Amino acid sequence: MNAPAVEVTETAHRRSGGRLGRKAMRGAPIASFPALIRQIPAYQMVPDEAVELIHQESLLILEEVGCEFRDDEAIALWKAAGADVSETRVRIDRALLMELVSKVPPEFTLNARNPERTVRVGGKNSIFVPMYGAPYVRDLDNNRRYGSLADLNNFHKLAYMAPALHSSSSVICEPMEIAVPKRHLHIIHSALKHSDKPFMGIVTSKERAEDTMAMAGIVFGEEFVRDNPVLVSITNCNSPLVWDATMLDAMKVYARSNQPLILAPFALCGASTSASAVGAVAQVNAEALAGVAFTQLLRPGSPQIYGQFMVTVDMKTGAPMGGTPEAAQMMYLMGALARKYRLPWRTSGFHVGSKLNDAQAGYEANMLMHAAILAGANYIWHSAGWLEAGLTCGYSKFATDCEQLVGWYKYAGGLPFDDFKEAMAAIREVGPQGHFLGTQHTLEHFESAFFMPSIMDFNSFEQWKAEGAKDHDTRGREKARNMLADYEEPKLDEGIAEGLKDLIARREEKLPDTIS
Amino acid sequence: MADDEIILSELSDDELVQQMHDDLYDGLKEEIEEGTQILLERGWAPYKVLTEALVEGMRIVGEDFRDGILFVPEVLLSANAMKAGMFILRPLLAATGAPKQGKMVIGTVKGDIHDIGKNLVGMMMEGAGFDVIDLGINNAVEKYLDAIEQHQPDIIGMSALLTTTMPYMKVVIDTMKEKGIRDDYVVLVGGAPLNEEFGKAVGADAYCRDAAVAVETAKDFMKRKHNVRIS
Repeated sequence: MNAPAVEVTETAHRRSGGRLGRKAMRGAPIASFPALIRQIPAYQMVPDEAVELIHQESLLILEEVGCEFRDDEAIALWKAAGADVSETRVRIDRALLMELVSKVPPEFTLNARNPERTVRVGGKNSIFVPMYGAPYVRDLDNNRRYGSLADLNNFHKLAYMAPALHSSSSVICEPMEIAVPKRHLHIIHSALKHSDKPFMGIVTSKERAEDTMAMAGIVFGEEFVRDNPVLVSITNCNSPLVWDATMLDAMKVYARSNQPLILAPFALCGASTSASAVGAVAQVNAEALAGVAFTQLLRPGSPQIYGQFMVTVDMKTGAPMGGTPEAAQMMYLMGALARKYRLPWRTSGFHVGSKLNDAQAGYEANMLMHAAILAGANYIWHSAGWLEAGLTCGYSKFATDCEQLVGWYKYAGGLPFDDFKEAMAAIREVGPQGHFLGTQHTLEHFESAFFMPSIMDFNSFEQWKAEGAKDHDTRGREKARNMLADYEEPKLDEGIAEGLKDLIARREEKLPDTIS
Repeated sequence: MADDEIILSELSDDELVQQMHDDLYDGLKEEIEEGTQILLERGWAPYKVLTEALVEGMRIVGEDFRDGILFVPEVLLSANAMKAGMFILRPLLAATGAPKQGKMVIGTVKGDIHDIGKNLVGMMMEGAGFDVIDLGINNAVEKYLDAIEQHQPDIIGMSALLTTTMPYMKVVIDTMKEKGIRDDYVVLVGGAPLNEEFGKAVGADAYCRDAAVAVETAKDFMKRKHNVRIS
């Protein structure tokens, strides 16, 4: 009638320093995960014939309707390539289009200033990238207000600390107090100073894109950044079917330096496309392919990212929605097309419409990320912070997203069989009755066997209540606050740091304080 | 930190006790057995070894378990090392008439076969130095009464996972009352569907929400029993 022995397999355990050792080990900052290599198959939601049908319709759009390229140099390049050009309208023959698209490499290396954070993008390689462009923040005290440089610094710090984020993005939130003509300098500086992960370029003018490249040159070496990808930039097609001068200017700067662009139609399904998920994809596919093809006129063989994600419009108000079933379904179509073209594909992951980090945000985010992963996305953007269709970056949402990404990283990494034999041995070791908590297999694997979130709460009701009965949003803010308190800046060579400051000072002298 | 060169016998008493706290934390059974033997050979009273080296070491383990630094499998490893030390000390403690940590009879009540929680509590209690008599699953009131008579425990622990079986705890306690022995024992209850209110309603001394709380509660009751003020 004695208590069952604690079934612990006898093995040579080693001293690990007792309490101090364990605390040091558990408290150690987690290094970044390498780029995710997806070990689960991409899911194709429609038959090959349906993908081919969309492809053919996209080709017809570009041949019959054509696409606007509102820039003289772009028009000249298209003419020289043999496209049918009339004023700014370019009609692209399918042979020319597909020949240009086929020049884009299926995968590329995106260099980080810390080589350990360098990642591959394309094929089975996927990276998670935080959001971009929010004028507002939902702050650590749960107030909604304009973003500041201090907020942007904070988000870059959080991006640096989050193991499953592979980029610091750039303008996660807008530093609204800084004059628009000078703002880009501080955005890029913040990303480079507070994190050592890859980052994103500025695209709002040719000059700002050139400043971005100059800053990248200081960090990576001027020569290096002429040929080696160190940043990714977003250029939007104004759906329907317009590539505007501003975006084309940015494309010229970046593509000519071999810096990848995301060619992304900015489309709200139902407003700037037809109110059909399939029809919308055929349109944005044409727009993205036209953009991708143009980059190959600028620099053949330059790495590019086929860039769509899509949200539907709320027919009750005209507002963009977020995690809806159609948004997820469209991802599967885009993913299938990207695979057909052998192009790295960007979509978005956690781009919700909810105002708060609440149940709606959770459901939306899950709907979208599940599709992004299963559809085989490579550059999974807007994966941290996004609220209100991108108007707001929330600290709580950011921390929550970072935690969830660790789970998605694991999910997409597939089911390992490497400890299967040991797991089976454990069944024989325990037999009927008893438990597995003391088996050798458990002791070796318990730390990594299961997702161990800290914002999500799985405590008993009493424990949860004893800790203040906090909801998820509150716990997320606390996590963000604690992470920021623990932040340590990554090393940056003093000469580089000075070089960046000098450049900013020089440019600020020249740049005006207001936009004209 | 990972230093296998440490020769326990060459450490001073203070250093050795510190090292044993670390070794308990790291769940090193053989090292705890060796440390226990060394302290006894140096003339330490068994009770002093128990309280200063083992119980104090497990207190640290319990604290870090509560704070989420240590995980369940690690605590079980520590408890196992503690149990190995206790195995050496138990006959000596009895022989020297040292105060006992306490004895507990524990089981899952009639109709309920879910014993993961109960097993965890049993192991954690052993880890804290208690004698634990485990009645297993599906225990009718007679099983508890027999065990009480045979083992003369200080504490009766009952566990249930189902709302359909948890009322049986009241049957056990009411029967103890009828026999006039209820107040001779501390009755602790636990299980996922229980709460504080239910514990009171069935007449238990305390509801324990998890294994760590069960150990703390048991220790508190033992201090009261020994008329030691709870710190």
